[in-house]
Amino acid sequence: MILAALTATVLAYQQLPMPTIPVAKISIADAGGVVRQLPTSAKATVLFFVAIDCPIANRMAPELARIVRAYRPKNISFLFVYVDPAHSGQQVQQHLREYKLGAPGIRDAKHSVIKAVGASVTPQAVVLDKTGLMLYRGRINDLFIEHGRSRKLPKTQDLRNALDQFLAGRPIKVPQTAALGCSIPPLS
Amino acid sequence: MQFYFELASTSKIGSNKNENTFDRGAPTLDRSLFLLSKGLIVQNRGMRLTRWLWWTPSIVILGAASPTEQVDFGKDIRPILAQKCVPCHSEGGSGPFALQTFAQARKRGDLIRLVSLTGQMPPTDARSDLVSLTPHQPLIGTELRTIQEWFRLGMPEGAKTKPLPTPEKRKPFVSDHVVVAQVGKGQAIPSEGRSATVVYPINSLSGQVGYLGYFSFQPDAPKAVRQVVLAVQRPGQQPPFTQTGLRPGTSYAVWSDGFNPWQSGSGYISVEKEDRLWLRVIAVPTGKPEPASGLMTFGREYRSDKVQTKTMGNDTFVVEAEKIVTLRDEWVLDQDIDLISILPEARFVTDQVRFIAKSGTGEKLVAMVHTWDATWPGAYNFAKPLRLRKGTSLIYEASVPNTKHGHAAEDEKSQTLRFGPRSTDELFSCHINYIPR
Repeated sequence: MILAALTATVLAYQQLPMPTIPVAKISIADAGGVVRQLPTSAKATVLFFVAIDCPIANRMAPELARIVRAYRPKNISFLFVYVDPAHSGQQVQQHLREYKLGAPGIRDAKHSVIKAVGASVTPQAVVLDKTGLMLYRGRINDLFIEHGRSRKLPKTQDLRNALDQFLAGRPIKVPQTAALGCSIPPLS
Repeated sequence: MQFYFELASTSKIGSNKNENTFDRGAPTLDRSLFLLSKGLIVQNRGMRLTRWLWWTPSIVILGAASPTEQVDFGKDIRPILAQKCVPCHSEGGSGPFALQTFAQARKRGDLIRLVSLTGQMPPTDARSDLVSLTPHQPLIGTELRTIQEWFRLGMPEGAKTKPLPTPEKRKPFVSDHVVVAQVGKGQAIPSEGRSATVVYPINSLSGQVGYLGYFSFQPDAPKAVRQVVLAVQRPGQQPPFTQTGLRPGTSYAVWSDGFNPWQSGSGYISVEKEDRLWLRVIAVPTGKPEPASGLMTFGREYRSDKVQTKTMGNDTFVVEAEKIVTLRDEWVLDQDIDLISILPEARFVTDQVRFIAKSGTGEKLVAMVHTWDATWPGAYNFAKPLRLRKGTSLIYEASVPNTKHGHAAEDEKSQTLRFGPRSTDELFSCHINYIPR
């Protein structure tokens, strides 16, 4: 029940209403020094919120890399957002390489992206369209059920579903799901 | 030196004298909290319907907050971390992240609160009525309350403190009687899956061992590797590891890092010149490929004791869907024995394993792992060999709630459960190292 209550708290926190106006334009340098503009000019942009030392985000990494490989050819752009200001750009670069994530990463040291889109845990995905309107916010899939318990294989591929529906020009059935992982602590 | 135990007492398993983790001088509140947290641990996987109980501690905790002395990190939380968490959660340790500084603990505050309350951390412990066994230290009631209170207060830091020191890596002890070898080059743990098993032979060490006194392993991937089993293939025998576990009767030794510093390595086995050694590495994938290799150390001890291995359990059990059963196997001793270590094997549906000694005068709990967790497997060694008399029945039991509540994912439908190699199959076995007397 406490778990349920905690989950409910997380849910309440996450299910901030989806913004109905485009999120503010953001420009931020990635870990390689290239300045990235949000939203990008791609059909849609997927932001993956991750942390170098979050085991739950790391265990999801192979699937994140597969999603990047599958959707980049369909003109979807990807950006990994590293949430912990304690980690250096070099550590971010190394993490991207080690887990073969296949897309650029930024250090969101001031939490400007996190605040703009209302991200709360890692791993979490946010999808923005070309104008900056939020299409999806939530988990990648339902592999993790609660801390310490996971399915053998995910049953629902929430992010892939949302992207498929968007690419087919259909409305996104479930635009928001609760993500489970390491919470993003506020900047001290 | 006497260490045998005579099964003369009539006390039952329930009246466990080993509840020494609870400080009896503490107020009644702590005791009730402690018991609740115990109950909660037992129910962690099996009986989710009783989760309403979990509310009770938190309500009591909030009501019990002392108004005079505020909980803070330096004074209250740091000592708990030092004793119960940092042995694994340190830089380069087996835990996925470090908990040595205020900043690190604050970052994980909600997770620390959650996993301590649900009994997930510190990971599975075992207890015994008879002899001390892996003195694994769970969080006690006052510690749980302190953590809850700290979180409620917004995780105050208090006085500035130094980072907790990283536990020293134990250097291999080197002497003429110790063999140290780097093994498993090129063997990899896959990047994905709920758990992973890698089996490989060690060809370079044939004929070097003699009598194996202890076994230790320093994995190259400490965050992934949970357990390493060393087993001996005798001439003319099949390799010791089957797809699912150990071949019955195989001599083995086990190392588990997750249990340090609560548990040491192995039993004692003899290795002859023509024997071949194999390793089985059990790991939790981390998201990228990790090496299954490591530095292996074992001592060549020359003892007269001949250690034998007995395998209990069976591979013929069938558990129908939506049934909760207790699997049971019995071994009646035809001679006196000294029990050295036990290695239970089970997967994701089993939620508890018990090992009971029964004689004409009563029964006693030899060992129980009360929240079985397949990702934290381990062998359990007795602090000193436990003598059991001829005629005693050793009973090995496993609780298998094959209902949707018993599965790792609650909405995974339960199906008929059998012995098998897949992670959705189950195991029911226990390997026992003993010396006949």
